[in-house]
Amino acid sequence: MKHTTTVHEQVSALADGHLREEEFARVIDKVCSSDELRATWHAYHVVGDVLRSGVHTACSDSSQFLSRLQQRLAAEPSAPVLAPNAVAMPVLRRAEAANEPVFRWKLVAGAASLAAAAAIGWNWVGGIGPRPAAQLVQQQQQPVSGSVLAASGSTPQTASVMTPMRVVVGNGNPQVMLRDPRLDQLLEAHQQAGGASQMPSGFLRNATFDGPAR
Amino acid sequence: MTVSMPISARGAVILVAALCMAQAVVAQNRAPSPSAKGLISASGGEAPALSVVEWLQRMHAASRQRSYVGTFVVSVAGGNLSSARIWHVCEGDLQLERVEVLSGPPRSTFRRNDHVMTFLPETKVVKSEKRENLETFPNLLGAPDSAIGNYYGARVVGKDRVAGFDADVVQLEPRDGLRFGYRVWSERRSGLVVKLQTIDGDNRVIEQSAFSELQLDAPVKAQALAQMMSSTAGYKVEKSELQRTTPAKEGWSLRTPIAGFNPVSCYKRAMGGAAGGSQGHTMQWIFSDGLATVSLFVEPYDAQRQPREVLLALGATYTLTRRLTDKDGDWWLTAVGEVPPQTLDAFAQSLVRAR
Repeated sequence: MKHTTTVHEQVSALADGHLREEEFARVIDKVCSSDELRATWHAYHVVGDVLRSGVHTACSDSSQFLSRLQQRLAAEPSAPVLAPNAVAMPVLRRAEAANEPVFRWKLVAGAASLAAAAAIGWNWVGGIGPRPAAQLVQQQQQPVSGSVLAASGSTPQTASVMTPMRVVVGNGNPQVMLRDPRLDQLLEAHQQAGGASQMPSGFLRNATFDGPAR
Repeated sequence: MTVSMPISARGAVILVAALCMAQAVVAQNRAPSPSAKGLISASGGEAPALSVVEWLQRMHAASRQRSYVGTFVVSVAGGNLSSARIWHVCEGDLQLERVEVLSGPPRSTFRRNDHVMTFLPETKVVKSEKRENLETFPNLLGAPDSAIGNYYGARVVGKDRVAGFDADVVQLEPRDGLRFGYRVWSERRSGLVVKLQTIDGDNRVIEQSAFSELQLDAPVKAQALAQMMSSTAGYKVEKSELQRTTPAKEGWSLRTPIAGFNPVSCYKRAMGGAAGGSQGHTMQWIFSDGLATVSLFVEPYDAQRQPREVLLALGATYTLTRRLTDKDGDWWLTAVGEVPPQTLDAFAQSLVRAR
């Protein structure tokens, strides 16, 4: 297991079920002793649920839930608490980390697309995702090149936005995922209108694609 | 072999017909452009040197005339794989297709010509819709001088084998930066597209789809597919709410057309308010250059729903959102298309309120 550095990263790893043994115990201790960390842990779970399911879960009072859980636990017949032993570990099914690269809308952040966006004077915004600390946000001033507009045959315009933001996540690959049901709806509408299906295999592609539209 | 005689006999007839057609197309093409011969792949030399429209006609004809069963796989840069089991059958003018996804939540899609039914067993919902633009392409069959040739060039780049079939590899190269390129694996004898890559301006593959396994001229029973398609018992049927309109009626126009992209249709869509929000209408204005499609969705701006302008990528599909300010109120544009971001930007720059 990769050694995680910041406390928030540790909490994120905990929420994703990535921690084992001593590290697991250490982070549990930390989370239990800090209200703020417990709130963070809770937030990560909510973020993860939303990213995985794409549905807003009604998330009311967590303390109410806890008290109900405690009541139920008290009502359960007492059984010897078995510590998860090392043999059982490999059998545990690892929950999907919420930020794993699955088919979701990605906030474009690659170096190449950055160049394209910078040339047009794009204003785009990052900062979605559970670990803002891992994102390096950097502002960059770049003269607007008219080449793209010239190619499209439209008159070059004075770009209203001159400060594209660079969003680099982790190792530089675009990884910021956005799960937006409304965007999914529009993508579906686009596909219905023949998007990606002008190619003879386009319909198959759309029907097969495990994209957000479902 | 369990293939019954009548089907294999019919398959042979179709095959002969397809070959004759291909020959005719080759003959037609060679006379006016002898220089195109130089582009034929040296190895084998049997790959016909066709124009982009002729290649596309051949590929479309194959998928309209052949029956097949196979496993289809789609992958996008940086993501994992989607796969599906495909059944495709042609009987005269009737085309039936069944797509059973093998990855992710279960979903079966059936198509009878332009009528599409998507079964979602988890939610017990069937989406029923007409796809009017699905058959756009055959319109080109009567017009070999179609404008597609002005924006894409075709070139045979080699031979390959996909799913056990010999294929010609054809590169469709864009002539400007407003569209992506494609590399197409076209089955040698039928022309069927067995693999497709979408290629960006830096020559990177941003999306690809292919048959990992294919049985051409498989005995698929049209009646069985039709029956499955109509078995909606226990499902809630949802029909998509579409209303034809015109951009002029909705008060929108393009200041300058985007090279190669022609308006195809325009709809008014009722968009379901996802989280109990107000239900509004969205205009969808659709453009196509013959291969790529762009949809412009325009709706009134709502600060709560649409907080940020973003550019998003999903394989070869890009999405750009932008707030358009106007005297009579602000609007929210969502441009979606299998085109480079700069093309979506050009659309966004060009879209204006017209009254």
